[in-house]
Amino acid sequence: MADLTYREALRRALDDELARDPDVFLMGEEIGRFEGSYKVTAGLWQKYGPERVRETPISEEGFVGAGIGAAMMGLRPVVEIMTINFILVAMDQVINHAAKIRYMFGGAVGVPMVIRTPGGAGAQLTAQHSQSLEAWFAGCPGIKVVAPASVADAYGMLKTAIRDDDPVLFCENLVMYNVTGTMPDDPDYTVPLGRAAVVREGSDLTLVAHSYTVQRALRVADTMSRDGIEIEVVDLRSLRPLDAETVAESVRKTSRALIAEEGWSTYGVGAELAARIHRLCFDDLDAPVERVGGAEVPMPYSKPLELAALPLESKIEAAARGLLAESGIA
Amino acid sequence: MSTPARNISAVPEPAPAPRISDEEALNLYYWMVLTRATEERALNLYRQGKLPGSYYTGRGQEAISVGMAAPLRRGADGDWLSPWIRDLGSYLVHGVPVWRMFAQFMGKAGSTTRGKDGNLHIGGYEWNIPCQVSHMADMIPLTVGAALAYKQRGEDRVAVTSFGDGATSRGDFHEGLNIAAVLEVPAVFVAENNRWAYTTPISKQTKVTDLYKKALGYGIPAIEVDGNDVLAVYSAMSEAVAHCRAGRGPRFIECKTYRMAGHAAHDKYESYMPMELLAEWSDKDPLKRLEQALREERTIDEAKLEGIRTKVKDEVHEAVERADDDGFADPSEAHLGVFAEADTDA
Repeated sequence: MADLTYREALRRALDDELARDPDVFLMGEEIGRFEGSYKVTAGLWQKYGPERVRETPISEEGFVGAGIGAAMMGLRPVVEIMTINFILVAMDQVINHAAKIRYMFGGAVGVPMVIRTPGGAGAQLTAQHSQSLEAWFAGCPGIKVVAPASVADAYGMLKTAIRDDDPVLFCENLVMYNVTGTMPDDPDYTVPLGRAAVVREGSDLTLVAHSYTVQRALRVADTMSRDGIEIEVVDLRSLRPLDAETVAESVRKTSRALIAEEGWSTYGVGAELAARIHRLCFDDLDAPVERVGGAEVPMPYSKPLELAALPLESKIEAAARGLLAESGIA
Repeated sequence: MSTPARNISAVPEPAPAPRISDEEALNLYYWMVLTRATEERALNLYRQGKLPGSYYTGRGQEAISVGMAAPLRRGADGDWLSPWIRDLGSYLVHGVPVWRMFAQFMGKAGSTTRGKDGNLHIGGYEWNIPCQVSHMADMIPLTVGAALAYKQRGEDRVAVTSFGDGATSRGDFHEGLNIAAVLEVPAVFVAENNRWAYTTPISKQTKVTDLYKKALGYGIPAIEVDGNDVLAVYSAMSEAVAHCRAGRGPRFIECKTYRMAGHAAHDKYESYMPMELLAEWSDKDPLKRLEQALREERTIDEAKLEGIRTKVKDEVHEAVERADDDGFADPSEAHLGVFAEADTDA
């Protein structure tokens, strides 16, 4: 086991896959000599050259489309969108092409492409640079959407995503890049897509989260544990395919469910999970399913305003305590 | 000392007059007759209520659809061809059997998409024709990507796409062309300037009505050809494809033509198209022109041409019958094929 950052885990996954499969190549803005805006591709341009680490013009719609075409012809492009906010100008290519081509070809041709892109808020980057839009994509059949929340998952899931025969939107997180954690030494370590993980066991309440919010959820669980309340934290890891069964199994045990996410709650991940939990665990619930999300506003700039809009630990904890009180546990 | 000017975006020198054999010319004639007969029959079926949706004809643009596809290599390992909605002929030339075109229009199981998409949103890996998500310039970046794959693997394959004048207003067109030029990929872009995008005339679409000039702006060698002269299109395309195969980067061909009907069978084009222009272009009909060239310049016997027309008539008849007899895919198939692994939650 080695300690390293989320950023370095991603870089190693790219390095390993570039070395393993000559069809894998990277494409995006500033990812070569400059090593990417967040340095995830550090050293790869020098190691693999400009054809395997291909720099593009500022042209998301164009190079996402080119990635799709190359993938259809059998290459495995890993396209970097500098932040998830910039994918909006390429939505037509992602939703109308990448997500539909296998189906519309009658299943004969797929798009084995990964789009890597960080989202998330908390660095005072304001409204257009602080979004968590992954739920929008997860609402569309045909594209897998994953959001690893640990160093080991960042490494293992990126490798699996690159080997996957379908398009994968790989959501990284700006705040996570410098988070450190342990990674297995096994160079063949991979993590399957579409499987949630119970990352902390508990008996009183199930707290579901993905991406950086998992870290917040774990801190809330630690805090409340001091009061004798044991929270079970489920890291979703994948939004599509969605592992509702692992969530349901936990809720059957705890009888209470709270979903936290950084994106907006309205039509969000929590909305989807609440529907699934009610169907799968109706008789097990001691309280209605609750959710916490980012405030329903464009993310403001100044630190006090930004903090007021984020789903911080304090808000998650308050929601958890409210749920417990509602069902008779103080 | 000043640096000498370097011409990076020249209009290429006209190729030496190509010698197109009589056999090649007759082959082009066959495909053009087949294209027109297929479209005429499909339009009739639409009017009889036998085809759902609407019908989009490429009448008058067969010289382009056939001429651009004919020089390409066919098959799964051949050249990528992504034609737009006026290019039914391209699909036929590149290998899609006629009956499957009708099956596609009818939404039958034998359609190239097993009934999952309609009209000219056709694709098939066996022909290396990507399924068409939209013809409004969307396919340009994908075509650039296919060409990039060929270049990266050192294959001498070419990726080709076509589009109308309206598509040149979209961002995909500009981003795609720019990337193609910068990455120097083997792609041929065929602009079919038929002067109408739905009801919008070219004068209201762009101030640069010579579309090839837009490509020059991106550093892509570009030419314009008479889009109603199949021999001219075929020659230009052959030359462009050879350029790409030689690893010399992308090419752009603008074919000047005219849309001989409404955008689709449902729109009343009489309300917005000047009738005198239609009449003028009717005289330039590409099929008539080729027939004339075959008879007068190549002294080909009329009986030979008649033989081709009769063969096509039989082919189209059989194709419609076969498509009619074909069934629909089982409704359970609606839920299949979203992901590679069948049991993945869509």
